[in-house]
Amino acid sequence: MTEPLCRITDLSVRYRHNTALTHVSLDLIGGERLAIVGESGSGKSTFARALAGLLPDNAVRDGDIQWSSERAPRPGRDIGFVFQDSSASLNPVLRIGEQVAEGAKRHLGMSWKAAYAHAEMLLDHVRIPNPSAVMRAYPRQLSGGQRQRVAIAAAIASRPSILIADEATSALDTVVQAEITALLDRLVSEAAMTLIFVTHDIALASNLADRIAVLKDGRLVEIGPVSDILADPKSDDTRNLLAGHFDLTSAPLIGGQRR
Amino acid sequence: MKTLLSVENLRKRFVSAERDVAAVDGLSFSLGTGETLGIAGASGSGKSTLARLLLRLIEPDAGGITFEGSDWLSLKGSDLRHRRGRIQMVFQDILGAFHPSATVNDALGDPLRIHGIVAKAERSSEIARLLERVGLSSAHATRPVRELSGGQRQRVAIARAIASRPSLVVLDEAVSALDVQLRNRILELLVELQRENGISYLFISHDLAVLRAVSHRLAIMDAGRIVETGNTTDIINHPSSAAGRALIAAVPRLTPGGRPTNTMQKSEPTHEP
Repeated sequence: MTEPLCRITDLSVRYRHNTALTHVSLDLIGGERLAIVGESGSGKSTFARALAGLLPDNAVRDGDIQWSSERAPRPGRDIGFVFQDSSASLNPVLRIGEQVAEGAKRHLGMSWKAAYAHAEMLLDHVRIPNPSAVMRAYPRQLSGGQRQRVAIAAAIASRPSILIADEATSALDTVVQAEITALLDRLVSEAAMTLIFVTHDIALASNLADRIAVLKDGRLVEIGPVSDILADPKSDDTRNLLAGHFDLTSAPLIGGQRR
Repeated sequence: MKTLLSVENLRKRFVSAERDVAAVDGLSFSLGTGETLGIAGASGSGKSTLARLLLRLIEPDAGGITFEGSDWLSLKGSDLRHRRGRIQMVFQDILGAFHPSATVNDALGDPLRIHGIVAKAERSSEIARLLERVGLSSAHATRPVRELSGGQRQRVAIARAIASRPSLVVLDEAVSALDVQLRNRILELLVELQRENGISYLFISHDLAVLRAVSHRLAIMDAGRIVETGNTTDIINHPSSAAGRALIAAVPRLTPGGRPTNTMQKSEPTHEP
């Protein structure tokens, strides 16, 4: 087996009054797509932030995150991060062009002119219609789905090798969610990025990931390939997530519907 | 089935310096007593504007609404106040629906007082009854709403919605912010309340899987219009509109064999505004 990109051992994270993550150990494999699945409060976002080095100051971290590279990947440069709330990840008073160009200018050493050209190319790449006009727009002028495309463009502007998407599609309606998921799928494939996809939706995870890690109350209860997790879940918590899922083939809750 | 609500050619435009949007553009539908009509549509399709029009939070530019056999839009002043309790709403943003310092008692006492449902002396026993009805206990009554969990808060929102004994409850993305387990329990609660009290629901959501579980009929909305309507199963099995097909394709399915990369690539081209 290839050496893992990152070995996480006994990772625990505490905030002042509560424990968010307890003794989580797993190996991250370079180039894989790992979904982190759990309910709210399961610690999945804390895990993603700890991995990215983006924990808030009041968090106390124990355990070890050992990267195979000589130096730990730097957040914003080697690790791109996409949050659930695109209006929080974008600065409301800066034009879109400047926000997307900034990462390229800072981390790739481009001039502003080159960085702006790079940004416009990225907006086109994430399928923003009319990118040159959107470069001059402010975040509030875009729909939620378009803002999330811009946030993704900004996250990949420095050509990171790892992309972390933390509930990046959860605030969007199902149609836009499917489009953004497909976008992530394409971008990660093209650039051979490692993807950490945090979601409460185990079906969405199964559509995008190679492996699924299930968290519950801050603990890792199960990790494995998608097919194993779905076909033969070992933990009750995984079984509950699977049983709770319903789609267009589940039994309706009301009578009188013809199947 | 008796008709409870009928909406005829309803229109509402929002005009500002930057744009002119026909949010609701000639909507017609009806809803029977004890029936659930699922209104499905993507963001910006006009679903929430429809909800606000039904609640008389905003006034339409044209069209008619007949509710409980009378002209709902002509009601004014005290007549409107007396009847307002008959249509209630549950929102997605549970916390935003309550005053920040409100206790459960306040949240449920207000509609009972405003709509004169029970005498003052009976108010606390009515609150206890409502709490029990939605699966909470009377011990929750003194708790601040903001300290409850998301699922408990949504139960309080439902208790508040049914406190005035409405015949119609409009549910606007009422379960979209909840985890799957909680979501399923809240949906079961809503179905049970309907079975017992014959309440009608207008259930607004972008999630067809949720709507399919609880709706007798579906209406697909796109750009302020209903582009198709019919029996839930028929629409799911044979959607006739592009918007209907997009909503159906967007429902995440468990994919045991791993990711279906090719089908996802196909669905990518954007049709956002």
